[in-house]
Amino acid sequence: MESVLKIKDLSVNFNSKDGIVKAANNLNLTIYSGEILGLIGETGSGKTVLGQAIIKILPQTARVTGEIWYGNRNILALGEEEMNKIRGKEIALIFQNPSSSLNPSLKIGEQIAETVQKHQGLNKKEAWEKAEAILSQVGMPPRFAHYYPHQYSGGMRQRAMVAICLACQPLFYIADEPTRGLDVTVQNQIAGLLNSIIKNGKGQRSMLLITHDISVAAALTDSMAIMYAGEIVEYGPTREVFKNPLHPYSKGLLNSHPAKGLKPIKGFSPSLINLPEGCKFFSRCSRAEKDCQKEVPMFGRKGGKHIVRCFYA
Amino acid sequence: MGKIIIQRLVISILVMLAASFLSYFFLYMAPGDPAVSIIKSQTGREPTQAEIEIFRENRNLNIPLLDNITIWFGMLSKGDLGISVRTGEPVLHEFKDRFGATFLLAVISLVLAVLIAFPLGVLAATRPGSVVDHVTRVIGLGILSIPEFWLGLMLMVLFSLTLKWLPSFGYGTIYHFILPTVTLSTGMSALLMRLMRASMLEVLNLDYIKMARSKGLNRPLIIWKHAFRNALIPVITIIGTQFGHLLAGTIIIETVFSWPGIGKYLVDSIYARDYPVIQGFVFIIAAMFVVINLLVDLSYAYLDPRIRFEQGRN
Repeated sequence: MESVLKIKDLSVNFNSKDGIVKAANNLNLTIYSGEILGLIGETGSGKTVLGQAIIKILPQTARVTGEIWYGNRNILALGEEEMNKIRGKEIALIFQNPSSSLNPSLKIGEQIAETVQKHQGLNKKEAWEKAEAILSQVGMPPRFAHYYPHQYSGGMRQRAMVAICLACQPLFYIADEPTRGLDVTVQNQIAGLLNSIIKNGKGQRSMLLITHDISVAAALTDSMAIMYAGEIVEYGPTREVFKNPLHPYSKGLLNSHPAKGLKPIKGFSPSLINLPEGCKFFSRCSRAEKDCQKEVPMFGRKGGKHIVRCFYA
Repeated sequence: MGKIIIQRLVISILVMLAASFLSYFFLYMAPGDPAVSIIKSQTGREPTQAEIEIFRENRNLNIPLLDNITIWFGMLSKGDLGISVRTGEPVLHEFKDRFGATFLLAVISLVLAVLIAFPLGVLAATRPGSVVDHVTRVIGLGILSIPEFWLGLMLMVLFSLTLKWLPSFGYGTIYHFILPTVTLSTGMSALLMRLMRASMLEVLNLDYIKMARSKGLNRPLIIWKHAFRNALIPVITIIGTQFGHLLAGTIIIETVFSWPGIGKYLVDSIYARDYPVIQGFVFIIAAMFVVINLLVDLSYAYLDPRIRFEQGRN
């Protein structure tokens, strides 16, 4: 399979009053065309930072090192102007919390149309026609283009958000917690919508699905990366990871799911300011030995594409 | 929309009536006799008891408080604001004669202040910590701590007395406008610039600005279309009250520059205890404030669709 996006040794640090926040540390990840890759982890593990780093909209205080290869271009080396030709046109970011991510003073139609106008050189009228067409594509009546975000329900707002991202038919989508805060039925609808966008892309479209919702990940993703404290600790085809989670954290995470009896992992994630030296999961791990505290385990291959960052998995 | 306006109008009328009632009541309670002060200023000597009595009778100053208020509201309903004790002219004429000068001063100063404050505020907000940001902040804070009358006097000393470029007082040509409007707009632009910067900074950190960036829109479009409009809402409130104060007559500045506006006339009338003028002017000024507040509220509804629809539903 051909890769769409290759992340190499990506680190993201933020300078804060309390010290350097290490939100992502030496991440390596490849997303293949046609697939949905799930990035799973608890809140504060750096998932959102990774998503925003790909499209380069992190705040100015962020220091990003490493490489992000999109085709033959290293995104991190591109200037703003070149980046603006990729954003929205080739790579789109579906934000979490559409209530605050949609501009309250602009009609939904305008928020879709302006992207089309920018990237496809259409005039206002054509762009609006396109906006209405896209709205119906995500299951909304075209007249809703003339409504403002506050007139939409939560689920409709998320659909509108998807419509904005879909406007220019990009090939790569980053969906950041797209189902968060929605009713379960609406969650399923949005998940179905995202799935159909990728599956109708004739193998051309792919998605990085950032979520902490394991059932959504299980239903949608082809492969999964488990993230813990700014590091990826396990990666593999979704079916294998679910059937046989290797990393103690992955096991804990999958077991904390209600369907598996809701067993929470004891302890808390480490602060991203004072990360421990060795394995970041050491203090919460039941399998930990002394050497875990000394050095970060390298990835070990466990058959096929399934890899894990643990000495004892 | 129509419903809000009707609600507002009813409240507005009540506010105006209350304002004029209060102003009348306080004046009545205040010490000093208009008869004495006006005759004194006209003749230059202490008036005799007989003169005072005749003056009071002629100018309806002998009527008791409550009757007077009834008469006042009766006149109001006919659009009559009474006659100045001092000049014998109808109050409405006195107001009309002077309002033009004040209105022009207010509008020009406000427009000038907005034209300076908005671009600088936005510029500072989009480059926080930059040289522009620091320079505008330091200058802005400096200006805000200068009293307006002092600035007026200093400008007068520099441009009128020393350089002899501009007239120091009076009204008529475009040159007469320069010093008063610059004086008024300086402080206001500093205030509005600070507000604009703060409001813009807040909006620029919101999620929908990140969203706009992720769509590949260029910076000017994000700043002006996505951020500016939303950042304007809190600033509009302040502009409204500032404009109200300007229209009510900037008493000090009009006095400094001998500007023939309503502010200066109102102060002169207060010194002379010219009851009808004070009462009439307070009523009109209250009315102007009410209208401005109404316009501010309507502008919210224009800027923020959430307000438009919420109130429309009530």
